[in-house]
Amino acid sequence: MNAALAKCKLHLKRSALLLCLSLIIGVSLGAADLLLSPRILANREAETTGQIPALVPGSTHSRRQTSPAGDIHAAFNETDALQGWVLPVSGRGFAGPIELLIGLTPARERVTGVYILAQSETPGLGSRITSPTWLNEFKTRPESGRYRLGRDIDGLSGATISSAAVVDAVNQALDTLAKPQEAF
Amino acid sequence: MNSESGPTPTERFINGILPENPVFRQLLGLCPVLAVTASLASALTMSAAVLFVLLCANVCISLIRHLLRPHVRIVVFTLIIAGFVTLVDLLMGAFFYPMSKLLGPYLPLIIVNCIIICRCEVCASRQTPLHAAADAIGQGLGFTLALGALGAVREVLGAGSLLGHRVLPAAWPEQVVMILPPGAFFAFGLLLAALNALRSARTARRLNPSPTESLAWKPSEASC
Repeated sequence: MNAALAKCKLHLKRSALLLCLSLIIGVSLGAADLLLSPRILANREAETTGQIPALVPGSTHSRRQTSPAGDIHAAFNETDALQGWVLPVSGRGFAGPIELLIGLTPARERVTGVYILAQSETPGLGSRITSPTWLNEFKTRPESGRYRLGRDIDGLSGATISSAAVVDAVNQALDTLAKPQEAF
Repeated sequence: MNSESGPTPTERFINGILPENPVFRQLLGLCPVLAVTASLASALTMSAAVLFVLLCANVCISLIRHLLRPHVRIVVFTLIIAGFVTLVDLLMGAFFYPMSKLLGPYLPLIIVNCIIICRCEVCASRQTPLHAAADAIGQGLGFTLALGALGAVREVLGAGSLLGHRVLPAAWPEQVVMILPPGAFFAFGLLLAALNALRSARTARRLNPSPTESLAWKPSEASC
């Protein structure tokens, strides 16, 4: 019993520095996160609201609301008439989540624009999902109501999973929102 | 381990920039070298982040160097580096948001940048904080030099611009491959070859003033 206790003490003594450092670093990082995360969130929010005029043609400002699909931004023009919606959604990419903004018409049945907010896909391959040329293909309404990769939207060579993730996320958003028009 | 002998702070500083350049001479930290040098702006931001983490980690480790135990030292290095990297990641997200978005996952990946752990092991855990700081700044500048050179070459050839400003005429056929991953290997390989050629030419000239039997480089070119 005594031997075990001695061994335990020895281990503690050897790792004391590590324990202390972990504590100090953990606490300081927690504090830094507490201090900085509101600012980081504000930056992300500003990026979203900054994209809204490009995603919903004719809109100048927006208000955040809740919808069956989570938070949604209602986009208005100068005279406060509803121009469309911007829905933030997230898809599962090749290397991590892909966060995107989808611009929708006021009746929420057509896509007016897609923007990639955050992604960690392979640079040079999957990261091409952020290219405006590719994202503009979503502005053409698919005949079936759903986007099909390779038919309505070009698959990006070398980035099948990334492009499929974006297409799926957009389709899913359309499915959720195109249900019987309830006002929200 | 506690003998404070070894290169002086000035030597440490100068060595880091070219004679022991972490990228061109030690071939360390090649992941960011290849991954974030598609544009000069991202290369320089990355270098600044690495320099900051390297400086903080080196000084911290040098301060606690007498407390280090051999079997836990690598864990301690990693812990301290990871702490500073997370801090940099948060700071960039708060104050340089577009850049933090551009660098994406490569910012947290500084944790596994072997230049930093190498400097902690080689210098900071053996010498005073002054040595460690000089070493960190020298190596950091060496890293900046390498990333900046590569970033500039790739951005000019691949996009015809430098820091986002157009420098080549619009008629320039943009070599898109230069900003894609293979371009990083091409540019890095050629830069490395050029530097090695330059170095062996200089060594040959120093060893053998009449360049008749130069070892590594053609005598005719070594003399020019």
